Amino acid sequence: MSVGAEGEADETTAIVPDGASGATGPARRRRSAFWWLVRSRWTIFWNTIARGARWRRLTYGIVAGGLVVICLALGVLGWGLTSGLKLATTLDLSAADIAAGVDPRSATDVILATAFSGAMLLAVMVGFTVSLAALYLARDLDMLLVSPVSRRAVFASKLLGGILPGFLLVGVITVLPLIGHGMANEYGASYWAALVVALVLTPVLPTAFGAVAVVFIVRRVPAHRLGEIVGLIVVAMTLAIVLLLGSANRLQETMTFQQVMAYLNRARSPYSPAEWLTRFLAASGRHDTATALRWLAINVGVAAAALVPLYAVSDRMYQEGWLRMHSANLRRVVRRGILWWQRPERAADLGRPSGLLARLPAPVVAMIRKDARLIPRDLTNAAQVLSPLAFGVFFVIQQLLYPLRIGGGESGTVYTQPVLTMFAAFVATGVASMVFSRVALTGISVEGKRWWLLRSAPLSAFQLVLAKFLVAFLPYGVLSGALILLFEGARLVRTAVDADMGLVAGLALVHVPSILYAWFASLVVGAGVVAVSLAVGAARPNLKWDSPHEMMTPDVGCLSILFYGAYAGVTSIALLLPGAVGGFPMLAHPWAFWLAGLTIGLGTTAVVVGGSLWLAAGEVPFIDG
Amino acid sequence: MTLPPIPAHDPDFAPHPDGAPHPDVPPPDGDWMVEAIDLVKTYGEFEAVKGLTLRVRRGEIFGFLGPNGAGKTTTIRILTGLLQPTSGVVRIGGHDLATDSLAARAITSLIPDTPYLYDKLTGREFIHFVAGLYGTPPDVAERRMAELLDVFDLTDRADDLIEGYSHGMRQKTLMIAALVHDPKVLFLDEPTVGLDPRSAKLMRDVYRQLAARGTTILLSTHILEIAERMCDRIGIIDHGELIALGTMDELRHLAAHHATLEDIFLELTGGSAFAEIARVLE
Repeated sequence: MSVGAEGEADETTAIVPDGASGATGPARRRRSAFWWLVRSRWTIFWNTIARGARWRRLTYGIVAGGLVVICLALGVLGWGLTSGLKLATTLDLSAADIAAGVDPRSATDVILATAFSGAMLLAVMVGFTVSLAALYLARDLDMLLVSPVSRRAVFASKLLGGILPGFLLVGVITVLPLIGHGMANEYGASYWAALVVALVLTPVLPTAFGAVAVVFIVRRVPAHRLGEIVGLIVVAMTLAIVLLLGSANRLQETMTFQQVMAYLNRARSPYSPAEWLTRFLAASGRHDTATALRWLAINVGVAAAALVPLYAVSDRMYQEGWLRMHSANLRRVVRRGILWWQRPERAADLGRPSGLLARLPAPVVAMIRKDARLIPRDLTNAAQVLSPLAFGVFFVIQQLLYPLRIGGGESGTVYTQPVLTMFAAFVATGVASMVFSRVALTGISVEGKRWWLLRSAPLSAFQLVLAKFLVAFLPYGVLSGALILLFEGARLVRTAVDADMGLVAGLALVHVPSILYAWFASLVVGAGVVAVSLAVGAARPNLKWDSPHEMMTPDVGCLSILFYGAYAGVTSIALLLPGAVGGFPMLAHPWAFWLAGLTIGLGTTAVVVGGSLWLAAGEVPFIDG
Repeated sequence: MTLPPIPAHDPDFAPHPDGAPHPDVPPPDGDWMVEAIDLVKTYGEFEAVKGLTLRVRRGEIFGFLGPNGAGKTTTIRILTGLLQPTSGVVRIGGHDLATDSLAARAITSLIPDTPYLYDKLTGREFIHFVAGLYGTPPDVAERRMAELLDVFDLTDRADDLIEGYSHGMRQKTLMIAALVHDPKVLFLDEPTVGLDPRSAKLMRDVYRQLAARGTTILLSTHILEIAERMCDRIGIIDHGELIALGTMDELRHLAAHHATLEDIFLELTGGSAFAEIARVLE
C-alpha cells in the first residue's frame, strides 16, 4: 500500500475504518474516513474530561459555569438594550415617519451588527490560531499523513476541529443576546429559524479564511514559528480589547446611550460579513424574504468560494505545507538580527562571570545567561507576560489622562506627594510581581526534558535555585524601577500641564528620596514574591511539557498567587505605609512607625526568602527528569 | 538457562558467588573510576535494580547490555546522579556520589539516548553553557570547542539555532559539549541511536581515542556489534540483576558453544522467547 506524493494513491487504496471496503468508491471511503477521524477525536476529548484528573474536571466545571453566567448576563443585556433603543426610537418618530411606515425595530439592528462583529472578531482571532494548530501542529499529524487515510478526510476533520471552538465562542457571545433581541422586538418564527442558520454561518467564514491564510502562509513560514507569532498577536489584540473596554466607563461619562448607538451604526460596513448576517437576520425577523435570501446567498456564496477550492486542492497543499514544515528543520536557521547580548559572537559570555555577575560562581552565571537568552527568544514566553504588563500600560495611560488626586487635585504638596509615589510603587510592585512570579514559578519546569543536563552537572541544588531566583529577580528590579519612574513621570507631566507649569518646574515636583525608597520597598517585596513562586514551582514541577502554558497547572498557579499574595500584602503595607504617611505631622513618633514597618517588612522578607530558597533547594534532588 | 559465574580476568577482580565482582575487594591502585556497590532501586513494589555491583577501570570501555526494561538506563541514571538509589554506594573517581556529589559530577559527562537540547540556543552557545556549568574557562572551552567542531564537521553550523539541527547534529553537539570540559568518565546511553554509519564510525573512533587517553567509558547499547567491537568488558543485565560480566573472550569461554555475543546474550536473557517470536512470524 503506497501513498503517492500527490495523494492519488490514497484515493484508491485508502483504508475504510468501518469495514465497508470494496463496495464503495473513493468519495464514500473519504466520507467514512472523515467520520471515523471525527469520532476518534470526540473519544479523545471525552476521555480527557471523563477520565481526567479531578482538578481538570473541576476546572472544566468552573469554566462551564462561568460561561453560563456570562451567557445569561449577555442575554439580559441584549434584551435590555434592544427594548431601550426601540422605545427611544419609537418616541422619536415623527408623524411623517409613522405615516411612511418606518419600523422602529430597524434602529435596533445595530445590536445585531455589534453582536455579530464581536463574535466574528473573536472567531477570526481564534480561527487562525486554531486552524494553524489543527492543520499543522497537531501531534497526530505525522501518523495520519503517512497512513493510508485520505488526506482530504484528514484535512476536513482537522478543519472541523478548528471550526468547533469558533462555534463555542459564537454561542457564548451571541446566542442569548440575539434571543433577547428577538424577544424584545417580538419577532416571529422566521427570525428564530434564521437565527439558527446565522449562528451556524458565523464562525464558518472566519475559519475558512483563517484556514486559507494558514495554508498559504505555511508555504512560506515554518508553522511553529508562525504559531509563536500568531500567539503574540492574539494576546496583543486581546489586551487592546481589554484596554478599550477599560476605557468604556470613561466613554459613558462623555456620550449618551443614543450617541454610542449612533457611533456604532456609523461603524457598520456593507463589506463586513457581520453586516451580511445582520441584514439576513433582521430581514428574516421583519418577514422581508427577498432581502433575507439575498444576504444569505452572499454569505453562503463567499464561504463556499473560500472553502470549496481549498478543499479541492487541500490534498496537494496540505501535503506540501506539511513537507515544508519538516524540511524547515533541516534548513539553516540563523538568528543574527537579535538583541546584542544574544549574538553568537558573545556565546563565550555564557560561561564567563563578569559585570554585575562577576562575583557569582561560573555555573550560576551560565544558568542566568542561558535563561536570559532563551526566554526572550521564545515568543510563547513573551505572550505569557503580556497580560500583566498591560495593567502597567493601562495605569500609565490613566495617569496621563486621569491622574490620581488627593485633596482636590493638589498632588504636588509635601504631604500628598509621598502617598501617591508609594501608591505608584504599590502598583509597580503588583505588575512586576505578576510578570516575574510566572518566570520564577516555571523556572524549574521550563528546563523540561533538559533537566538531566543540570542534574548531572557539578551544580549544587542551592546554586541552581540561586540562579533561577536571580533570573527572575534581576529583571524584576529593572521593571519595577522603570514602572515607578513611568507612573510618577506620567502623573507629574499631567500635573504640570494642568497647572500650566514649565518642564523644569514640573521636574521640581519629583521627590527623589521618595522614589528611591519606593523602589527599595518594591525590590524587597519582589525578592519574597520571586522566592515564594520559585519554591512552589520546585515543589510541583512539570517537566513533561514544552509550553509555558502547560507547565503551570491551575493548582500550582493558585497556590503561588495565594502564598505570594498574602506575603506581598503584608510586606507592601509594612514598607510602603511609613513612606506614604511617615511625614504626616499628626504622627507623634514617626521613627517608631518607620522602625515597625521596616522591621516587619525586612524581617518577613528575610524569613520568606531564606525559607523558600531552602525549601526549593531541598526539593531539587528529588525532581526526576 | 543460567550460565555459571564468569571467572575474573584480573587477579584483583575476585569473583563473587553471583558473578559480580566482590564488593569488598579494594581497588588495585586506586584505578577504579566507577564503582557501584549493591545498588538497589525500587519503585513501590517494583525492583528496577537488584543489588547490582560493578567496577570499571580508568581507560576502560565497559559495555552494558540487556533487553528492554532490564535496568540499564536506570543504572546509568543512578551512576550519573540523576536518580537516587534506594540503597547502595556509588563512587566516581573515588568520590562518593551521595556525600561528595559535586566532585563526582565534575569529572563525568553523560550523553543520553535522546538529545534534548535548548532549541533556542545556537550550538556554540550550548557548548559554552555546558562548559560554564563545569567551570571550564571560556578561552579553554573556545579552543577545545574549535577542535571538536572541526572533528565532528559542525563548524559551519555552530552559530545556527539548535532547532534547525538534525538528530545526528544534536547528538554531535551533545558529544562536543560532553567532551569540552575533558571528563574522566563518560556515560553513554545508546550512543549511536539515530546516527548515520559514517557518524557512528566517527563516534566509535572518538571513544577509542578517549579510552586510549585514559577516559573511562561506560555505555549501554542494544547493538551487540558495537559492544563486541568496542568494549573491553561487557556486563549483561536482566531484570535488574547483573547476570554476566567479563571480556568477550571470557564470555566466549564461558559459553564455549556460542561464537557470537548475540548468541550469548540471547541465551542469557531468554533466547527461547525470540525463537518463539520467529516461529510465530514464520
